[in-house]
Amino acid sequence: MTAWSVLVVDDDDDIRDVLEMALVEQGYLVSQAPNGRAALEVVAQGMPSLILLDMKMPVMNGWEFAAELGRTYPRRAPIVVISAAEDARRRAAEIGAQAWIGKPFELNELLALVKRTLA
Amino acid sequence: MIRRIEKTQLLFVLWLLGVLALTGLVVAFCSITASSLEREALTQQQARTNKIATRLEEKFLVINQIVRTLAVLVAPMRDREDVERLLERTLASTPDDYVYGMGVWFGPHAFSPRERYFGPYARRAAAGCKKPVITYEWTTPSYDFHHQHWYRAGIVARDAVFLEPYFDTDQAYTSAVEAILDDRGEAVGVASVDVLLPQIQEQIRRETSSADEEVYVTTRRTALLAHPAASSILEWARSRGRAPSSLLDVRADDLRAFEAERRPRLDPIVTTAVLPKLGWTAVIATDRRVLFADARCVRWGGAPVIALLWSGALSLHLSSRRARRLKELARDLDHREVVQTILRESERRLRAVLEAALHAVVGMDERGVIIDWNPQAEEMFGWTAKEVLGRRLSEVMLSERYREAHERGLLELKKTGRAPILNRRVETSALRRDGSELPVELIVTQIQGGDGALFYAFIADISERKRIEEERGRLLERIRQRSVELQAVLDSMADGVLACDSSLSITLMNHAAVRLLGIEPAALRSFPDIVERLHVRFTDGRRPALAEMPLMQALSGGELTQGNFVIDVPGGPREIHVHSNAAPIRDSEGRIVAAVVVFHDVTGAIELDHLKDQFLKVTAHELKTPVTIMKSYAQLALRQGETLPPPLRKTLEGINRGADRIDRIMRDLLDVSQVYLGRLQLQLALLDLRELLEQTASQLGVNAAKHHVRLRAERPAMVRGDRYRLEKVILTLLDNAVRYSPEGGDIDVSLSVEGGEAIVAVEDRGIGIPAVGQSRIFERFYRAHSGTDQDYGGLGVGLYISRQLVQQLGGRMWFLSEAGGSRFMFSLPLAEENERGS
Repeated sequence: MTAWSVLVVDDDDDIRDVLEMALVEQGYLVSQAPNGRAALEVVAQGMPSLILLDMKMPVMNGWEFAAELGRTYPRRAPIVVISAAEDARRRAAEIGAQAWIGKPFELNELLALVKRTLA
Repeated sequence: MIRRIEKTQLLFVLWLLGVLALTGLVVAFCSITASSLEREALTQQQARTNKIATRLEEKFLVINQIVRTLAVLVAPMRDREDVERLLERTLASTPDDYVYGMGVWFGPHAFSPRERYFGPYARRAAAGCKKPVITYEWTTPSYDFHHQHWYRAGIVARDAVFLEPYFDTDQAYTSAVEAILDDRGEAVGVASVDVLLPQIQEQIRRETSSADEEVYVTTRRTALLAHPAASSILEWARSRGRAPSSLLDVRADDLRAFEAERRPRLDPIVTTAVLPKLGWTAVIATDRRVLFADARCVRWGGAPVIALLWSGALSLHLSSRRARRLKELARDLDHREVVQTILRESERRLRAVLEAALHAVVGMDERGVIIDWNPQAEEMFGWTAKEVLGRRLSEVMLSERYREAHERGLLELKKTGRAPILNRRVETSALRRDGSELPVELIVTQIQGGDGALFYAFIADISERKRIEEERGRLLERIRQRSVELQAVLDSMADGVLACDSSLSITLMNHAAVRLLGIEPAALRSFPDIVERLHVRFTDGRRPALAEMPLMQALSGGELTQGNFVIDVPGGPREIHVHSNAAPIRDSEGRIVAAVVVFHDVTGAIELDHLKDQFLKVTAHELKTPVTIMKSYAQLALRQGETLPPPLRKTLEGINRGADRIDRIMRDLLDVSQVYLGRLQLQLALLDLRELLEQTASQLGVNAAKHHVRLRAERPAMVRGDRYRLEKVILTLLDNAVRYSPEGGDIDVSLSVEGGEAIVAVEDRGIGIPAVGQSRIFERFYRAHSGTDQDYGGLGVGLYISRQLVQQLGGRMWFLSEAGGSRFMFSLPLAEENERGS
C-alpha cells in the first residue's frame, strides 16, 4: 500500500517542522506549504491524502485556499483545520473541513485525529 | 333722586306758570275792567257830552221852532201890522232870558212891491222887560240886510240855520234864520231870531262840575263859546298880544296853544258831541287821571292783588319749601340719628382696633394736628396720648430734616387734593421723645372726616428689620464670595459638572462641562435638551430613556448613581465616552430639590481598555503558536518513550507542562478580558450537570493525590450551558479547593435541585478566606492571600470569570468561608421540561 501523504499548511516554520517530524515518525509522507498559494502548487503536483490547514496565513489564507481547491478539484483530500481561534469549529465548518483541532494541541491527539480522518 | 328733582322742578315750573297765569288773569281782568271802566267813563262822559249837546240843542230847538213858525206864519202875510203883531206875540211868548229879538226880513220887494226893504225886528223894550218893541232900524238901505251874511245864509239854507255866534257890545249872540217861502216854495225872505248866549254860556260853564274837567263848547268856526277857564284864556291871549273882545275871538287852536303853554302836563280825555243844527261842538275834557280814576284804581288795584297773589304764592311756595325742608330736616335728623349711632358704633370699633393694633397708629387732621394716638404709639415714641393730642405732628414726631417736606406735603394736598405719600409703604425715620431717631415703615391712608380729611398712619418700628437686613446683606456678601470661590473651584475641575433642578432646567455648568460637551450653557435650557443634542447612548448603542440617566435617577431619589455613555459632541470629530456619577441635592428638610452629575471623558481610558484587551487577545492568540511548538516538540521527543533517559524525560515533561501553563494563563487572561467586555461567547447546549461533575471530579482526582474528592449527586440535573465553560467553572472551584487546603483532605462536591434550580457546592477543609477579603473575592485580579504566607499564586481571575459565566447562564454564585474551610456554591436554572427532549 502506498503511504498516506499529508500536506501541512501553516505560516509558522516551526509548526510545520515539528508536525513533519511527528508525521514522518508515524510513517506519513509529508509536504509543507507556508501559505495557500504554495499549498495549491503542491496540490497541483499531486493531491495529498490529507491536508492539515492553518486558517490565518498571509498571501492566501485558509479560506481562500479551500475555496480555490474546491473550484479546481472536484474531489479533494479531507482537510483538518488547525486553528488557534476560538471559533475553530466554525471555521472548519465554513470551508467544509472534515475535522478540526485547536492550538495548542496534544501531539498524540493530533496524530490520532489524522489517523481517524484517513480511515 | 333725579326723578324727584325733576318732579320738584316740574312742580315748581307748573306752580310758577300757575301764578303767572293767575297774574295774567288778574292783569287781564284788571285791564279789561279798567278798560271797560274807562270805556264806561268815556261813555259816560260821552253821554254827558251828548246830553249837554242835546240839552243845548233842545234849547235851540225851541228857537228853531220859533223861527220856523215865524217864517211859516209870516210867509203869507202882507200886512205890516200882522207881521208886527206876529213878531210881538211871538217874542212875548218866548223866554226873555235868551231870546233877545226876532225879525222878519223880506227879500227885495218881496213883501210889498213898493218896499225894497222890509225887515221888522222885535226886541225887548229893555233888559228884564218882557214887552216887545218893534223896530225898523235895520230896514235901511245902508244896512242892506239883503246882503248881510245872515240873510244870505237863511235864503240859501231854506231850512233853519244857526249862525255863528258873535259878540256884540258885551254879550254873545247867535241867530237862527230861516227862509220864508212863498207858495211856490221860493225863498222870499228870512225870519230870524236872535238868541242871547250868556245864559247859555253860563249854563255851559255850570256844566263843569269839577276842577278836573272842562266843559266847553266850540262854535262852527271853532271859536270858544264858553269855557270854564275863559278868563285865564283871555288873559293869556292878551299876553300874547292879541286883543280879544270876548272868548269868541279865541279859537280852538288858541286853546290848544294855551293848554300847551299853561297846562302842559294835562292829558285830557276829550269827548265831543256835535249839535247838528247849531254846528257847535260840546266838549268835555277831563283829566285822564280823573276820568279814568276808577279804571286806574282798578288797574292799579290789580297790582296789589297781583302783589298779594305773588306774595301769597311766594309765601305758599316758601312755606311749602319750608315744609319740605322741614321734612327733609326731619329725615336728615332721623338719618343723622342713625348715622350718629352707626358712627358711634364704628368709632367704638375703631377705638378698639386702634387700641389693639400691633402697629402704632397716629391720626392727623388736615391741619397737621394729631387727633389720634394709640397705645402702641405711646410706647413707640414715648409720648402719652394726652401729651400729643392737639399738637402738630411734625413737631412731635418728625426730625428737623423731614419737617419741611411734611409741611410742604400738607400744603400740596390742600392745593391739589393729592398726596403721593398716601397708600404706599414709606421708609423713613421718626423722632422719639428722647430725641433719638427710630427707623420706621409707615403707610398713610386718608379718610373723610366730618370736617375735612383725616390721615391715619400705621407705623411699624423697623429698626430690628433694618439690623437684620444689614446682617443679611453681609451674609449675602459672604455667600456671594463663597459662591464665587466655589465657581472658581468648579471651573478649575477637569471633570464636567452639570446640575439641574426638579424641573430639569440646567442650573449649573462648569467650564469643563462646556468644553467636554461642546455646548454653550446659554444654548441649553433643560437636561432632556442635552440628552437629545448629544445623542447620548449606552455603550451598546441603545438610546436610554430619560429615566435611565444617572442624573434622573439621582433626582428621583436614587443615591449615587453612575453610568457609562457614548455621546456625540457637536462640532467634535468623533464620539466620546463619558463616565458619569450623579447624586441628589437635598434641601434642609431632606427633600430632593436638584441633582448634580459629574462626568469625565473616559474615551481615552476606554480606548486604552480596548487596546489592552486587543493586546491581550492578540498576545494570547500569538502565544498559541509558540506554545504549540513547545508542546509539540516536547511531546515529540517524549514519544521516544523508554529510550529517553529519565532526567531528559522529566525535562521534556516539564517543558510540556510549562507550555500548558502558559496556555492556561493566556486563556484565563483572554477570558477575563472577554468577560469584562461582555463579549464572552457561549456555546449553549443541554447538558447534565451530574455527568459533568462526575467527569470533572474524576479528572481532578487523578491530579490531586492528596485530596479526596467526594461527589454526591442523587439525580441528574439538566441545564442549558456551555459545557466547556461550565467545566472550567467546576475546575476552578475544585482547583481553588485543592490549592487552599494544602494539607489535603476531603473535597465535597454536591449537586442538589430545588426551586427550579440546580445547585452545585464545592466544599474544602482548607485555610478559608480572611474576612477582610471576602467582599472582594469575586473581583478580577483580586487574590485574598496575596502577599501572605498563604499566597499560592494564581492570577486571581478564576472566581471572577466563573461568577460572570454563571450569571450569564442565569445563575448565581456565592460562598461561605471561615478559617476551617470554604464552601463555594453556584446555581443554574434547570432546563425547561420541553427542552429536555432537544
